[in-house]
Amino acid sequence: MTHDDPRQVLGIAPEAGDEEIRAAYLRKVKEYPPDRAPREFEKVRDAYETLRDPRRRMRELLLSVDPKQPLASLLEDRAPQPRFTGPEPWLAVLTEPRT
Amino acid sequence: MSQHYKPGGAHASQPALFEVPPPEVHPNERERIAQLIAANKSGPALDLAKDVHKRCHGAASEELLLDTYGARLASLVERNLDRDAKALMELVRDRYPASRERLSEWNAVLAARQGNLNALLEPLANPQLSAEKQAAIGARVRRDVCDLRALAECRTLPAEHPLRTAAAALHKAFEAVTSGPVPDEALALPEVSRSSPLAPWKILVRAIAAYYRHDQALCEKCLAALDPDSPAARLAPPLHALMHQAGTLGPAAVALVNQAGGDAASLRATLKRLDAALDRRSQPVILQEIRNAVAACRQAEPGLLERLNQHISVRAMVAGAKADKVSAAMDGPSLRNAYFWRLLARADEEQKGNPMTIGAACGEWEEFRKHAVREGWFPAKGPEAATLYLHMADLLRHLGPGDLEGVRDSFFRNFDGHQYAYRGQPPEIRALIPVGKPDLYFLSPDRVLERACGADPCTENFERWLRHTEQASPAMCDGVAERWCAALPNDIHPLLHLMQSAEKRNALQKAFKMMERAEQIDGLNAEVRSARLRLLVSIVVRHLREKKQKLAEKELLRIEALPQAQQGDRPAFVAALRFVCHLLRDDKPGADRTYAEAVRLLDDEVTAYFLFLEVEQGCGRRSSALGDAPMPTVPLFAAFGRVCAIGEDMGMPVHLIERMPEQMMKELSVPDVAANPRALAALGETAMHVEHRPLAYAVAGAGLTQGAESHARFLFLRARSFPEWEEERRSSCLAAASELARRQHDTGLLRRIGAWRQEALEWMDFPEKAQASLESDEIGRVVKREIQERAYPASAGDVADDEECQCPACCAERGELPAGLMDMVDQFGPEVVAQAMAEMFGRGPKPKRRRRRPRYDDLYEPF
Repeated sequence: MTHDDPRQVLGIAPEAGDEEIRAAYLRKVKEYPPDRAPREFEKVRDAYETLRDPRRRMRELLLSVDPKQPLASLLEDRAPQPRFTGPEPWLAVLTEPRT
Repeated sequence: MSQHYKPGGAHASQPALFEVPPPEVHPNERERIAQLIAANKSGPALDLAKDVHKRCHGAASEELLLDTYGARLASLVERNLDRDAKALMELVRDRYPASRERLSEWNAVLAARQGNLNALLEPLANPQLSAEKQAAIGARVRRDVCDLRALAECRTLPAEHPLRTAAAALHKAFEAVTSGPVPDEALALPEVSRSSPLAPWKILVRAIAAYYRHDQALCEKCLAALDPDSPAARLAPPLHALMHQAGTLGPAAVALVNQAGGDAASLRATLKRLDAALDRRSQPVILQEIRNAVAACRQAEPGLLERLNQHISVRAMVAGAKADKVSAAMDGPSLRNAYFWRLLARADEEQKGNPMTIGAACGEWEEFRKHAVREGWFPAKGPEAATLYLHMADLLRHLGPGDLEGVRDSFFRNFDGHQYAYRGQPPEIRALIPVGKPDLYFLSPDRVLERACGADPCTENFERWLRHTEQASPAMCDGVAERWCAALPNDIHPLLHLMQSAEKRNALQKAFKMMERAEQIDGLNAEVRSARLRLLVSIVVRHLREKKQKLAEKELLRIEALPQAQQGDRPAFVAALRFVCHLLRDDKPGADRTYAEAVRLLDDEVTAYFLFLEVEQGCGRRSSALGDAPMPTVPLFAAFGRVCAIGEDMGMPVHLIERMPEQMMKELSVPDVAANPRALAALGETAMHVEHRPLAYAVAGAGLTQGAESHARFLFLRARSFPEWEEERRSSCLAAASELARRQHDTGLLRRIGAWRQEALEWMDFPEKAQASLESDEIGRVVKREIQERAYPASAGDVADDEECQCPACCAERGELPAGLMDMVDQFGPEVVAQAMAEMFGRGPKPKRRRRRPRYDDLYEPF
């Protein structure tokens, strides 16, 4: 895990509530137990401590956005959106000679 | 066609003596050909079969050769080499007419692959067709039919034939699922049964739908269930590639992946160019690149467009681009929701140096709050909302009073509640347009903190509000403390504040009530316990000043019943109060007994004498009933310091007697003075209270030699005792005191240092060095220097030899009047000046009736 955003560390949506945060934390602790993955566990624990306290969570919410971030960085961590092409490109594969 | 073996060409006319059967196909050869076919090496298999037939020329070898041709044709068809397959079929038909029937089947398959399904499907029109043949045709359809539309429209079969209806449904679903989102009902496809030859197409349609819905798990599950021999399975590799799994693809598959997979590379490049233009602040280029970026985003990542527009709006604003031109370049304003306002507020926050941007940031945070509550980010009241308010208060702390006033004035005149931002916005956002004159609460730290406490009434928030009010509007502190009490009745801090406030105003009964409430919450609190004693003493003193000795005695009994009144030197103080009671009753023997008791308690008559003197004065006695001062047994600073400590403990201010400071300073100037640090500290505070800085300076020097535990306190005293121009030493003493207090966790001292710094900053130009923390070595050097520097600083750098300091303290040392007063004496004469001063300070026109305080040198000779 390389992300520092606590929501990304726990793998939850920005609007996740207390129950979801806790459930995600327990899931991640099972995935990264402290004896087998201490560094990852520490990140998970720190992320949970930030998000479970509403005041810390709010401070993180207020300060987490960077107005000067490069616009190209908006594409990071974003899966390419599939495009609808119609049937022709798909059917072209069917008639393509196979090696 | 078989050919008979012809032995030798020269004897062809002779009849054969016997017929030699043709050579058999060796089993190994047959096996070898079968292996090659199984290994998909139909070419080498065909070559071998040809060799075998050339050698054997028998029916078996021909059969084997035709089988091998069949495998070769299958291979060509499988690889979509239909033209090669057709040419091979014609060659075989010409050479081996007996193979026509076999080739007709392949002909039908080839025709079916080219869209002509009639030959393949015609037998199905015969209702008498055997099940075997039907299954064989079904298998061919399953393996070779790629054109669903052709199958759906094949007139060889009746319209209601299951194959035609299934193909029609599948064709429609395939077109739909590759052209846009489809509902689940469209994927049900009841016309296609599980056993249908077209069942793989149904699985493929569902796999494609799952891909577009980002359901990778379902897509992979469908692909795993595909019949690998069906044409539909040919679309599995590109679907795997669309889900970012490696694989070898042909050109058509690569083209499909590029078209369907979304290519962000060009958008990324466009955004980088826009970033560069924004960094360079090149306005024409910015607008053009915005247009390019929006168009590219719309094409490649339409779901990102709204967020991108918001970021572009804010970045462009920071780069100085005009908002209306940016909106036009984006084909409309960006969405002004909570995300936008947060972005904008952060952008303004980071533009340091301009007070207006701080005010603007606070206004934008208020917009963020409104929209965030509407969007459900957090509730209107709660710790989250309070945290936001506290953040706004933190921002306002960066503004000095003058700047804040200027910002408020500007906003009052010009701010319209961000009306411009609501233009062109959807109805749910426009519903939050402010109506009427906007509330500028966000520019008032007090109101912001009030809202924070309202949203989250917790001790920390109220503490912060009270702390701010103590500095900004001290008169409002009681109101804040009362709000705190009402919100958190079990918090003791506001009660203590209200108690101290009432005590300062001399509203002793109210102070007592607050103290009693605090006692109910935490009777063991040290401040509460000392407050009870202190308040009772104040009440007694007031009664004594008003000569109500019966009331005073009643309260004295209450004091004497308190356990804390028996501690330390307190009984001596209580005895002094009782002494005054006796005097009011003209009970001289009682007074003498009480005095003797105090001498016994303090074990020193000099200390008792000064203590009773101060209590007499504190209780309003015009003249002292005490006789002559006793002979000294302890240094004056020790005796008087002890009295100061008692006075501080009991809440009664102590006054320096005339000429006493000089004697004490002489005593303290001796090296290695042994003294009680608490008494010294109290003496130092008394000196500062009457602004006698040289005495405070001397006390601090002596205190620094009493042990490291007291260094913090006496460094603070030393720092306050310096003249205004001694900046460097003051800074270093304060820094050392702060650091030591931090290490000792003396929060009370830290608070006092902070409060004094704050106050000093308002009228002194405080150097930044005062804020730095020091290492232990540096602290040690500061302490050593201050111990060694015994003489009160003279302004050696600024004062020439023939110029002397004209401050009142230095003038008094030289026995002179201050310069300004000297001028008036020269102008008006000493009698006029003395009369005017007497009237001004309210000592009455009859100076002879003024109570004469004992002078120090009247009491006894200095040591």
